[in-house]
Amino acid sequence: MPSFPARTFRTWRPLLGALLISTHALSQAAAPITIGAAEALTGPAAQYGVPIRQGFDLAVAEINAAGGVQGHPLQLLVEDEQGKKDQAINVFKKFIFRDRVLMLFGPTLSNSMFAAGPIANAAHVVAFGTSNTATGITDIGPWIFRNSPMEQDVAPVTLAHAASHYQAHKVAFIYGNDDAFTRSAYDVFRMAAGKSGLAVVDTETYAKGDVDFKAQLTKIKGSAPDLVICPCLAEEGANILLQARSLGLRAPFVGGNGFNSPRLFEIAREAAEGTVVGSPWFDGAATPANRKFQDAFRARYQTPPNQFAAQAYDAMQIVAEALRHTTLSGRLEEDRQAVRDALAQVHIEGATGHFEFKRALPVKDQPGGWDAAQKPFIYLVKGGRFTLLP
Amino acid sequence: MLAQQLINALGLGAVYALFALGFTLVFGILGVINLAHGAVFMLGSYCALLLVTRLAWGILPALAGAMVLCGLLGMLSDWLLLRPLRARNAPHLAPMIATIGLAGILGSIAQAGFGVDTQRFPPGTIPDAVLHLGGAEISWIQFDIIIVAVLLMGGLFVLLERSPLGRQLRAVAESPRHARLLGIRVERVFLLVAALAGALGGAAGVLIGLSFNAISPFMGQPMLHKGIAVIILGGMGDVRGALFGGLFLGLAEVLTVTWWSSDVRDAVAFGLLLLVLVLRPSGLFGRTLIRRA
Amino acid sequence: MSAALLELRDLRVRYGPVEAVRGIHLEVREGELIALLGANGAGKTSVLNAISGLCAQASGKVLWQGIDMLGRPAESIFAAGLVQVPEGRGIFLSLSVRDNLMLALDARGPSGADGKRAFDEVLAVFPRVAERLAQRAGELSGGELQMVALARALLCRPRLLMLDEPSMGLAPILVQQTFELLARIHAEGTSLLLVEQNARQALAIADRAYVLETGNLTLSGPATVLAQDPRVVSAYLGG
Repeated sequence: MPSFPARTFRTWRPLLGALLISTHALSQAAAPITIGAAEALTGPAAQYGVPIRQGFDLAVAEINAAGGVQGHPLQLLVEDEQGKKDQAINVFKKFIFRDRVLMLFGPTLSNSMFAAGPIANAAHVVAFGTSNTATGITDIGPWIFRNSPMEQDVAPVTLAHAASHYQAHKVAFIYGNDDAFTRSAYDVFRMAAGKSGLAVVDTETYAKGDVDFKAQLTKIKGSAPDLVICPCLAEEGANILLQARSLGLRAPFVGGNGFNSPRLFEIAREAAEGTVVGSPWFDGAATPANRKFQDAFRARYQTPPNQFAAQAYDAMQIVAEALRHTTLSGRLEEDRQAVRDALAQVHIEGATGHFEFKRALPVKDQPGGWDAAQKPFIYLVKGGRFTLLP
Repeated sequence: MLAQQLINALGLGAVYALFALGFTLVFGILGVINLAHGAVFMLGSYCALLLVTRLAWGILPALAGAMVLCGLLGMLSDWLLLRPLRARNAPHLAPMIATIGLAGILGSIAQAGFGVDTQRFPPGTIPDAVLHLGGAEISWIQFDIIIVAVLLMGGLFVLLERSPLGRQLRAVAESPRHARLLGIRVERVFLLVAALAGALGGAAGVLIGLSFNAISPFMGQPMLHKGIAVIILGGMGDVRGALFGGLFLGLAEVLTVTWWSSDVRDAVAFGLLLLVLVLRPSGLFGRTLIRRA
Repeated sequence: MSAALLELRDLRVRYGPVEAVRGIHLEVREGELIALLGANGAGKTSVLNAISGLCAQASGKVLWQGIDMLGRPAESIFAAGLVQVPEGRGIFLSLSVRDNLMLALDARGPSGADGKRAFDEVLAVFPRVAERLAQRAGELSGGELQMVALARALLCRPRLLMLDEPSMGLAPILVQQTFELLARIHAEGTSLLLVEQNARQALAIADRAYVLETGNLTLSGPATVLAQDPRVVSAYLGG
């Protein structure tokens, strides 16, 4: 019965073909590009880590809804690094060596990037910070990227605007001296004050977890400054403002990146009036990308976004843009290198405005990483909200 | 400016003292360094916040409510955690380690339930008026904290020194075994002390939450460090010690900032603590409490 | 012969692997003064603590007027009238003398005038204690502390008063005084169980006595008989 096998083949051929095609299609759709994000989702730094994750998730959803990148969907693995250095290192190692991700986002705090960044750099994997503003982050090496402008770029502009707005000559400082973020912000503000010829009449410090700042503020009041520079986080800052006003210290405050949160005037209310803050993002900026981001964020989370969400959203768009100009080989080492090379060339119009990277200067002949080249917005708190300082 | 700094010191010292009260009570009578006191303090703050914002209670009923809830929490922690360890004659460090565990659990619950954002009582919960005393300013809440701290401490002192219950508490503090031979229900005393300490911790949390507008799951930790310093300074387990230890630490911190620099504040404050310990190992008020077998 | 007030049946006390009391039988009848003699470490204190409910690992029976008290909490044993003055007297040194005495009244519950009368009566017996009411107990001498301990024990209205080595650490003259007081308390109708190393004095005031050696009762009988027993004489009365 020679016809038997032939008939069997005929019967099975379409099925077999369908099977082949579908597995082929599956392998196309099932090759997501895996990216790891190590952010602080619990602990004190979760107030930044959580909006960052929301920004990532929103961008990934938009990118995948539009068909992914060159047909590949993005797959974002998120792990909680708790705002702790050792945890950030663990998560980075897990992503790089076990999950074998293409590249990494995070960690949330500058402190943690200093600890975990060198691991990614040594393993030749991109570590992309969206919220690290401390000086020296990109000195870690050529695999370190960030789209958060350095405090050192923002502070001089902020201070110059504030000094001219208030015609200030004497300034006083209050900052937390046991935290990399606020210390580094203090250093750059201090340098900026020196360069613009402002006299520093008093410098006060506090420790992490302090809630009573009255002793320091009383001393500052005694030195009668025209401006008080407070490079700290919004919630501490709000508390400091409230206590300053209750002690009769009326001088306007200037804040760094940490002040850049609506929490500042939500908590401090009228005590925050007149405060000057520099920021890479302005919710009132009427560009199409910013409008689109804010509408989508509100629709998805029922709450307005903050700067950290905006920067995370942009960071994901920057990566997507880089991937559009990359041909992935399927060999992990080569692809990691290709992403790094493509990232350095990206130009986009994001929620935070026009964005591109600039190369950090080499330190001791070691090549540096990539910082944000962006112009900051300068705000004035007026009527319980951020307005642009003319 | 010095007058203002002295008022600042008094306010800060009262806060430390208030926190240290319940802390020192548990140490004095149960003989346990209760490292969950910071967490109870934090939950007290949240309790009152919820009562004020969700149920629209006034701040005084909310304070009472928080004290009751934290008192119950204190009792529960003694019942579930410390009592079984006592029953099994666990080594000295075990109860302290258990309270670290409890602090971790309560902290995680607070993070999950309330989020990590710093919260504050709605403005107007208490009058935010400022009193002018000569060249110095004192806010109502600062004033209230000092008054409440003194009242609570006075009340606790009278309870301990002048009431039958206080007499029994002091007897148990010295020797639970001998107290038992006089018919004192020692386990009930322990439970009561845990409740009292919880309520005091809760009250401290509410007042500090009110005055610094900084209610967060992490507010207990730094307070705990200061609280330990205060009770060592004042004499472990001594109620007057908590008051004077608190004021001493407040004064040391503020005057260091005033006359020297805020950079060395903690170094000077804790240096003084060491000095006191070297000169008087049992603290300012401590009778060396040696518990007899 | 009156019925036993307290009866120990096959009482055993363990501390981990060590058996400190190895199945003893002992009786105290109403109004008796019983001496429990023995060397250091014989297990005397363990017997008292087992009766008072302070030993976790005790077995056998502690019959109080026929009811087994073993395993009951210390405070309910105290409430039944079994009062122990522990070794070292159990005075709270950080409390005032008055507070130490008042603790005994607290245990009665609100007593008002009744308590006040009892307080005055007891102080009349101990004039030295009355002088020192306001002082911290830690400032008192050993003899004074002994008086406070006895005064406090009497305020507890004991049906059976148990004393653990009341003569320990006292000057001879004070030991003499203490035993005179115990005899007087006994004469007024209180039953006593006296644990002592000082056999001579104890036998002089006791009705009956038991001798405990490494957890076992080796001898028992009327005090006058035991005082003549050659074994007691050689071991405890110094020849």
